[in-house]
Amino acid sequence: MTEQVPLLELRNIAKSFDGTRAVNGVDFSCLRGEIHGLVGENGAGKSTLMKVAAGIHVPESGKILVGGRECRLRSYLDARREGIGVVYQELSLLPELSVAENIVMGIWPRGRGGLIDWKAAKERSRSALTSIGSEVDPDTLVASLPMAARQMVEIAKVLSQKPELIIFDEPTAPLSSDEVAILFDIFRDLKSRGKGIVFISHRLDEVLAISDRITVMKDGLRVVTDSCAAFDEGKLISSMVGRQFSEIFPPKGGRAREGSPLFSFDGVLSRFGRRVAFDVGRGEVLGLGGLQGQGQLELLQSIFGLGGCERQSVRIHGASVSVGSPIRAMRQGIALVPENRNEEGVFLILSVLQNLSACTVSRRQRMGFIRPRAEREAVEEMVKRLSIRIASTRQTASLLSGGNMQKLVIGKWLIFNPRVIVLLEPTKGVDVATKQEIYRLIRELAERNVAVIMNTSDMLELIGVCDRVLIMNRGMLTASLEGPAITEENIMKASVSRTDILTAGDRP
Amino acid sequence: MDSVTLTAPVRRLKGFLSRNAVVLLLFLIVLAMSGFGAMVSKGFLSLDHVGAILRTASFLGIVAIGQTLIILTGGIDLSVGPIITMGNVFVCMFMNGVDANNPWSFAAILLLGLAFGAANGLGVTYLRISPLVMTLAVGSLVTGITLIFSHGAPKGLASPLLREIGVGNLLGSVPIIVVIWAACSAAVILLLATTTFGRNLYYVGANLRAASLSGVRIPLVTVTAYALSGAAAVLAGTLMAGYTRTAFLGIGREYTMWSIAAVVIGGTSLTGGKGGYAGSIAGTIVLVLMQSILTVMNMPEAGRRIAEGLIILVMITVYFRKPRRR
Amino acid sequence: MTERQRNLRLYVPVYAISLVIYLAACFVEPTFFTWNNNVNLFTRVTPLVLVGIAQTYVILTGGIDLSIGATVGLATVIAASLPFVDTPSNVLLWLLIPPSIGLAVGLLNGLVITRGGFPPLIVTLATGAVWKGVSLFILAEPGGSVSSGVATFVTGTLFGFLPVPLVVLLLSVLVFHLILKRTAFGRSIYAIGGNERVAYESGIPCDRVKVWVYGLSGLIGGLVGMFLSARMSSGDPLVGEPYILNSIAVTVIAGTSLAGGRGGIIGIIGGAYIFDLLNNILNLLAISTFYQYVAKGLVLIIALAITSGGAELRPGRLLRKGRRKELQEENG
Repeated sequence: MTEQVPLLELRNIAKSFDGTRAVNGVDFSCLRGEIHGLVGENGAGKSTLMKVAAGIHVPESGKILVGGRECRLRSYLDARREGIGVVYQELSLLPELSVAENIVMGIWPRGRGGLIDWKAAKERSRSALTSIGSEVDPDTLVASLPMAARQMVEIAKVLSQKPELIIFDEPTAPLSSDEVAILFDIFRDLKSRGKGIVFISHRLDEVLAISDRITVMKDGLRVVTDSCAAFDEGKLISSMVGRQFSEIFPPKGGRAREGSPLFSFDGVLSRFGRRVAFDVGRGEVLGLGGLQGQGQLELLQSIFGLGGCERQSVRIHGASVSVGSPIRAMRQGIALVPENRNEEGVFLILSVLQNLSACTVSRRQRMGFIRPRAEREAVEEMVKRLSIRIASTRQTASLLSGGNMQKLVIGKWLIFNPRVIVLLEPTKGVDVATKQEIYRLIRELAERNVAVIMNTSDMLELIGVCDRVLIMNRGMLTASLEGPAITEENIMKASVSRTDILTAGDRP
Repeated sequence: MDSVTLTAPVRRLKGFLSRNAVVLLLFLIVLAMSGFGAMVSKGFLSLDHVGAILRTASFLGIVAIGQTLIILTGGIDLSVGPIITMGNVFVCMFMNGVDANNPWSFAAILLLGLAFGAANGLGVTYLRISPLVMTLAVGSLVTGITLIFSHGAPKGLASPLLREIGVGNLLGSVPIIVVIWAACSAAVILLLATTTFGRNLYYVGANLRAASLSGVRIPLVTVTAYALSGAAAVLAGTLMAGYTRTAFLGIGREYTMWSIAAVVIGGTSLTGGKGGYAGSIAGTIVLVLMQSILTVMNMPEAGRRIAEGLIILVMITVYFRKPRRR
Repeated sequence: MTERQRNLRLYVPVYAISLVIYLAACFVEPTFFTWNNNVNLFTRVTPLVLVGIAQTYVILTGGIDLSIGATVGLATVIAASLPFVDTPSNVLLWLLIPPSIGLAVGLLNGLVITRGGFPPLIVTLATGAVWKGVSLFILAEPGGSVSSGVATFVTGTLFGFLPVPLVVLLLSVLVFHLILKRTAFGRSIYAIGGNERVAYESGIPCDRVKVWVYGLSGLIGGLVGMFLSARMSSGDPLVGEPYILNSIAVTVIAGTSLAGGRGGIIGIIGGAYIFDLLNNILNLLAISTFYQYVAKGLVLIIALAITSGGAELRPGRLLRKGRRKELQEENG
């Protein structure tokens, strides 16, 4: 094996926050033309380690070497000068400005008289975008672009600063499998141009698919680094968690859907003009899959009264109910766990108690006054049931980890005691241990005869958790897969199929 | 710091202290200012003078009730000044110095305050106009209406009952107005801490979208909060009429900015969801004390304004420092 | 949608409304449509447009300037306290000193806000109070005097027919619009208002830009004060009071978001027009000035309902569809 000087080398890096060691003497390296996957639970230290490389955090000890040369990275500017670029999970785009402006932000091309030359800016952006195969028009406002397109703009922005090493932090979370494939094409292209890529992700299947080498971190330490071929998902998980792979997904419901359905939906998707209808049976976890943006979100939001479908008819336990607004949906016992917990689910500046109480305050009131003991009991019980690790329920929610925050959102709906629960991306940005707990909860809910409907872009999750999966394409239901028929291949086939199973007859 | 060695009561005390740091700090400042005032002028801490200070504070404090509620929802109310004036002018017009007019005068004036407050809330919720500008517009409307109906020269008198409330004392030296303020304060603190409406205010202020997705009735909460603010403002204007007997145009003008200052100094965050009325009480007293000290120091108006501005600046340095970017 | 489409959606309604009001005025009173009257309109509207521009710059960065009224008042007071005999050196003093004082006031605001990290609302509230006090100290009542030469110039015309205020108006709008659209300073303003962290990580010197934005606001306040002192031939410490809230109203009507990062000054002339035209019509109809307050309030609400509602442009996020009242973007 030829001795190559690594593009980036981190030696014995240590970094603490408030007395806790986030990174504890870690070595890491990335070579030219390498895609290096970095995995680990939340809190394992991978983000912190990469932020050291990006100049955001200054390590207490250890060396950083770029191209074999020792560097001091005091700020993000230093890192950028050394050729290190980062694509963050929270994109650094300004939605109110155009694509072109975002890409040239801070490095505007000047024309006559020192004024900004917008034509040149557009040209520069256009070439940056086409170099990654994106056809986004530079004049478009970022605010009107869907998530995947925005990510392309972000990547173009980072690439236009001509980095040698690019760190991607959870880039595939908002993408469908099609879009992930495009992203991986970009990775391969960058790799062929001799760049180095660090790919941080919770999606182990994807990491295994694209990386050359993989590093696993746990509790601030590097557990193992090896070539990708030496790993499989099971080994990765057990290195990350110290537990066996098979325990990740709880056993599925054995019962066939006996008796009358818990929940029935029939409606026409406004955007596509197509009719969708399905039932959810007892003890069944129903998943909604397919490529992103095919109507799944509209469908599920409409169940919660947020609009998206017309002429809809919803039946719970056989009785017809009207769900014109979230409040009316809640009155029928319908719950919705939204996709973006920070913006839509958690009250960051309020306490854990206030968060968990949010959906049910009016239930524990007497003539307008809250009953404090009842509230405290309900909340403490939920904290225990969900094993949320906090010092006290008065703690501010923003101090919790992503996984614990997700538990707050789910918890407030569990206290609500719904008859139907809709979950949108329930484990987005959540570490493996918490994912497991959430899967267990979902199964528990189904067994208690709560109609569970979930939408996830994580294929493994769809396959592992759901008893039945409905695939949507262009607003139509293209397949209803059950039991052993839920395979990656069948899902992919259905995702691109143009057959509407409703016209064929049976209601899924 | 080893938490094992701290006993439970001590830990609870520490928790209480850190949560209410702002209010405690303010009360310390109040003590300091009172001491300073006593040094400057001998009669400063006399019962009479304290009563007078508290009476002035009551007006501001009552207005600050509404402002606190609004700011907690993440909004702001710039119409309180005009609404105070409206209350002041109209109540004198309605009463005309006669006790017989009391019942319907009080009812009518309350209704006016609630109505214009609700108008603010409706505009903010349904027309999606920012609170800053909506309340500005309604304030202008109210000013115009006040001028039109009074023909630019307010007439009428406060009724004898109102006058008695305005200048009278309970138990010898506690102004009735202060008692009213105290009662209102207790009610508001209770409202915020123990009622679902109060809790909903925090939800709306902390994260509007999450609140609506959790089943909080946003329009109801918002409109009620703004309506209450309007009611608080007319109450203040009415009590002022009791104190001065006749009405004055522009009597409420300064209160808009002062109420905001009192709430912000009291620790309630302008972005909503954090804070409460206890802090606003402290903020009110601090501001009124400051004015009083400057008065006994015989500062001319110009100097007074300068000092007031400077003191507000100094106070916000105490606990407003945003963490500097690292 | 593209940037151009979004901008059109913001500016067209404002000018449509002001055109409607203008035509209504002409209909009510045919003499409205005279050259003289139009000149009069521009003269009256210029100060409001200028402070609107200043406030727009500040609000675009996500801040607000409540001290601009005090700055204007201070500038008039200082201008009227300068020696007023008609000499070139005195005219020079009149031209330089008030704007410089305004600039200093603004820079001070900016420094306090950036160094201390305090909310601009409170800081400018407090500094406004301070400078108002200073103005009252210098001139407790409106008074002082301004050189008559300057007064005549400011209220006169260039080349015999172009009114000076009109020239100032058009020049300012042109220059300040150009700055916002084509300079690094201007684009940094949008970036800072959009997301300061992102702006910072793009290498933009956020604090420095903000200090200069507040400085500019103060400078414009000083210029307006200078201009007003000549028109009134005196100084008035409280003349700037209405400009505080009016400048905010005009800014918002013109499509600038109070949260920052979105908007511009193209619509400001339209917004200022809406304000002033209304007063004008009421005067023509011999309606008492009291009704102007009512009119201002109602028009503001109507104009904002139209422009606020139309300024929303996030089609992608589905959780919003069909439920306008549930979700508000702007929160004061």
